[in-house]
Amino acid sequence: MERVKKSREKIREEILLALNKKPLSIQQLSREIGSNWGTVNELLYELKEEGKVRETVSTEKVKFYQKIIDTYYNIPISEKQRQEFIYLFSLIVEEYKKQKHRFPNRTELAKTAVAAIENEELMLNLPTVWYLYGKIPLMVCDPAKEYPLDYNGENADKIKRVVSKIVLYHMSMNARELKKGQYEKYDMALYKLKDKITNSYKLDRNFLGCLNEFLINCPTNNFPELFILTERLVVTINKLAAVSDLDKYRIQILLTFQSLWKYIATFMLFESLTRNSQYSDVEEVMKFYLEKPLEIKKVQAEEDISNLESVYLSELKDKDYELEDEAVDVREVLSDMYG
Amino acid sequence: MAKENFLDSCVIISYALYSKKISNQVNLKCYNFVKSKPSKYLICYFVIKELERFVEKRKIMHFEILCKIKNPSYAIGTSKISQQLSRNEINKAKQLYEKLKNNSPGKITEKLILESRNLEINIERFLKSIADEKVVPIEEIDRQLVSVIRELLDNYDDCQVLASALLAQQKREPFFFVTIDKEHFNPSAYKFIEEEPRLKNYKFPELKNLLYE
Repeated sequence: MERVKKSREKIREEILLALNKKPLSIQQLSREIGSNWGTVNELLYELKEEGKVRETVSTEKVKFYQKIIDTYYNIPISEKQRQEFIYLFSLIVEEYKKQKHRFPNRTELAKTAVAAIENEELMLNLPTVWYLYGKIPLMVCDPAKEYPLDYNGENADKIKRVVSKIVLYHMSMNARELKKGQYEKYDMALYKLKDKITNSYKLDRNFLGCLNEFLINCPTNNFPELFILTERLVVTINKLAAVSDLDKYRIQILLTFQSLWKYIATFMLFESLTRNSQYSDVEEVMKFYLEKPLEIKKVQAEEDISNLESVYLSELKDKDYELEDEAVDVREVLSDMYG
Repeated sequence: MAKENFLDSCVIISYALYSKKISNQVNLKCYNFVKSKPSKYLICYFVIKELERFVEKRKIMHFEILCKIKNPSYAIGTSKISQQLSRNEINKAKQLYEKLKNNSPGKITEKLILESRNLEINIERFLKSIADEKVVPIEEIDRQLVSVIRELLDNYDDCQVLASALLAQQKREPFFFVTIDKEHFNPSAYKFIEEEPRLKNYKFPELKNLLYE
């Protein structure tokens, strides 16, 4: 059979198409699209310069390339899902303009999209994840962006009808209430506590109690680092409370907590994503998309906690600090550990 | 002038565990010794590392306890991270769970956190205000010396501490090596190490095991 030489443009298209599913090495891409290693390497360089792909995981010998797309952490979605997301976002923006005479903000757009995706009548196969402010569509939504309304899927009218109802239902709720409603609906204690902590005006006993509750609700499954780091922060804040006035350091404490939350929320994204059968290869999701972000957020949180520890150390005085009555039974068990 | 004191980590931990609300003679002895401050306190970097590790292992014990609270069928000491704990520490975590399990999860966390807070404050206060001088950076610990001691002592961490003490002793006036370790640093075990021919060129600090005083 005569072999037809593909144009560079065609190979570029094929590379991008192949990267839709998951990151691939040059060798894997070359095999997948049937073009030679050198050409693929050259075109990947071009695509990288144009901001269409990026290197994800690299070892000494192999580089993996990932397509840059408008989802969180460039996690792949199918083209059909992308079109449905865009249609959904455009409908929500339109409905907000029609019913509320304004654009939705980012939270309203995301929460309305999630409500539509989870609507039993629609049965949309669109991935959602838990992240910083609750459940959101995996595709990044931006109310300032112009989303075309030219979707022609067979369920287009049904989606439109449901979105219109949801926006009407959300009519009297602001973004904060929508977010809170979602935490309640899914009984996400960790998110409710996160809100309580970050909105604390006075860092008193109640605040310390919320931190303890937050620690209990911290995810423990197969990821003890999250718990250990959270406990480190909770103990540091408690130590600071013992030697100084917490309110004096309110901003730094809350910023440190937020830094830790970014790490925890990225883990929540990973955990919720891998519950979806489309992303059930847990190791692959971790390796290609979330290992680096988790590491960066962990390092940032550690750095911020260390800064707070140095504040506590500067306040620590050379005097006896007596063990609280509440902790005596714990100490009784542990007091002979090293004697 | 009174001899300086080189403190083993167990003395500092025992001092930090002391509370007047709990009767524990060893902790009281260490507390009284540390507070009496007869002379300068020396602490080596390896001991500082051991103290950090001790605090970190506490967090792993708490992790195990909270896993059990969340899921009563969980067996303490079976997670990957719990492999970092000694058998004694796993047993302590189990005992602690048994003692606390009838409290609400919120109360249990509060108790664990408050206990850790006090312990960590005591250790950090010692490092900040009571210890006088930090000696022998970890990278300066003589590997060969450690391996000789290793043949006489079965605990690698203790070998590093003793090696640090020996290295510090070579450059200073005689000092005390203060410990409460009754297994590796009791008077006869210490004498046995001192008599090792390959260590004959080393000046040994005088042993002060508080358990024998």
